[in-house]
Amino acid sequence: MSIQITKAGILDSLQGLPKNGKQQEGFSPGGSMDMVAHSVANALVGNKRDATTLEMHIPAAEIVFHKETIFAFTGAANSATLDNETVYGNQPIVVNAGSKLSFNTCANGARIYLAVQGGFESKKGKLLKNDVLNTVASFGYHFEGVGQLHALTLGWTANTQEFYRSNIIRCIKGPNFTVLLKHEIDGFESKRFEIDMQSNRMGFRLNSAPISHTVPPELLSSAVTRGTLQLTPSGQLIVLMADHQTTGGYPRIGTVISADMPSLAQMPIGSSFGIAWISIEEAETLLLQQETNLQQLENACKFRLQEYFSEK
Amino acid sequence: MSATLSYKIYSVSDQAVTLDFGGPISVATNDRVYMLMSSLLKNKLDGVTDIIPAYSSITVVYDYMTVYQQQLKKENNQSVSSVIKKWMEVNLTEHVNDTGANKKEIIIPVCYDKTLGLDIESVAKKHNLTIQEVIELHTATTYRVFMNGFLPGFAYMGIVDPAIQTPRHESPRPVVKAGSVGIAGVQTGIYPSDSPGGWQIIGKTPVPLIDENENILLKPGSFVRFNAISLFEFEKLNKQ
Repeated sequence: MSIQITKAGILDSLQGLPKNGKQQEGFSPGGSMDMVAHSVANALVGNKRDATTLEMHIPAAEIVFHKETIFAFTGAANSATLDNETVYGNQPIVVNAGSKLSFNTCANGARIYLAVQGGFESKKGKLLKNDVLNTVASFGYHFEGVGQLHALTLGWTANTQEFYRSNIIRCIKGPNFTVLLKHEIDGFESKRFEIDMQSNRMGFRLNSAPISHTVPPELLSSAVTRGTLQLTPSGQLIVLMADHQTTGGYPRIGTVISADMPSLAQMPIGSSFGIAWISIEEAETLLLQQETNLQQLENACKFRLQEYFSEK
Repeated sequence: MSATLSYKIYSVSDQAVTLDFGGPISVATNDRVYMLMSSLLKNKLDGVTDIIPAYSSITVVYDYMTVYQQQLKKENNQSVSSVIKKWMEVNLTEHVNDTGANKKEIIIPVCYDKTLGLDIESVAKKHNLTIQEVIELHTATTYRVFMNGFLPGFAYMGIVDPAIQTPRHESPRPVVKAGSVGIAGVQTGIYPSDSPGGWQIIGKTPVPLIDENENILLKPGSFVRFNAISLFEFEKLNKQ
């Protein structure tokens, strides 16, 4: 089974869970920018969370399915065109061989995740036109295409709204928070940060009124993580994303909480948000809640799929 | 080793904790980092995915849910970050004589010809030295890999002889070629791949620092010496 990219989008790539374990040698863990959308797309087609998905930006790639399969897309696209029909996101869809999937320009975020049953074989780097993406042999649900139809939606939708927030991103304070001047600390939560054009999978540059700070003593480089807020000498912030370097020497004034990283990853260039400081304990509670809700949703998807195919 | 060595410990994310001994760059502090690292590696904790040493700090990256579930079994209702902090601090008091450092020196051949070491002439001038003296001073020291970072396989090494310490360029070069050997203040390093970079380039090595399977040559804690080679030898080795 494979799919083919018939028209390349902007920076399409295959992504999965972060690959930890080699950061001490300078290897970034990488992984899907929006882990929630990645996980839900996988769950909808019966994959485990560690299966590889196709991460796309807007405009997204145009794809042809070379064999019948179940697929789902999540994230920034509410709908797409499958041949001449409209299909919707967050749903498992059975599709015939030869069908073509394209995404319209309407976007509800910044990144789309496409999963197919079994997941894709990993392949590094940017995907180009005519690239063929092979899928891993899957445990599989058996179906014989969808006859005369182009697609068959199985009839349920995963509700992912509760996982996303706009407007305010929550952060914990970092080790160099104290470089901020007092009036800056006092007024920080009313500041707005706009995602700059020069933003990518490594990091988002944030535009704001320059942040007044003391010149810190030269800091020794140390480890940074996904979500680290680095303060550049010009008083602007960079928030590190999936492909971040493993170490950095800029003052670290805070870190976006893990539970809000999917929301941040879905904010398009030009959108803006505010920052709210919370405690590490609150961050942990929110992460636990999100993970519990996500696991429930994954289980529900799995159950529905099993039920559907056992009745057939 | 003094048990009263001061440090700070803090969460750098809700899934990472840093223990920081504080600056400046020193061999003694870095030894503490690697002692703690070998102790942490010996007394593993489920859910820890990365232990990242730096000049004077060590960062533990963990999977929150894995640690949480382990603690749940133990009926421990402390926050996960405090469990990690405690684990790190307990390991700090363990006396591990082995710093985990790979004591065998890695010899790196470097050609200091000014066609490859683009800044060696200006570095020499700045310090009123001849190019030959710069080469002698750069090859006379056994360096330690304090940490990796910046790029896969990039090793931050030191300590460079004060007589040739030179600050980095004010604005970085758009491209520094893979294999270029640079100095920046007390540090020396080799670019493992083509990259923008601001270090003073004094030579180039024909030895690859990273292979196609992503194995790196200069690992955290390694010891390294540079060996000067001629342009002829460089070309010969470069072709192999």
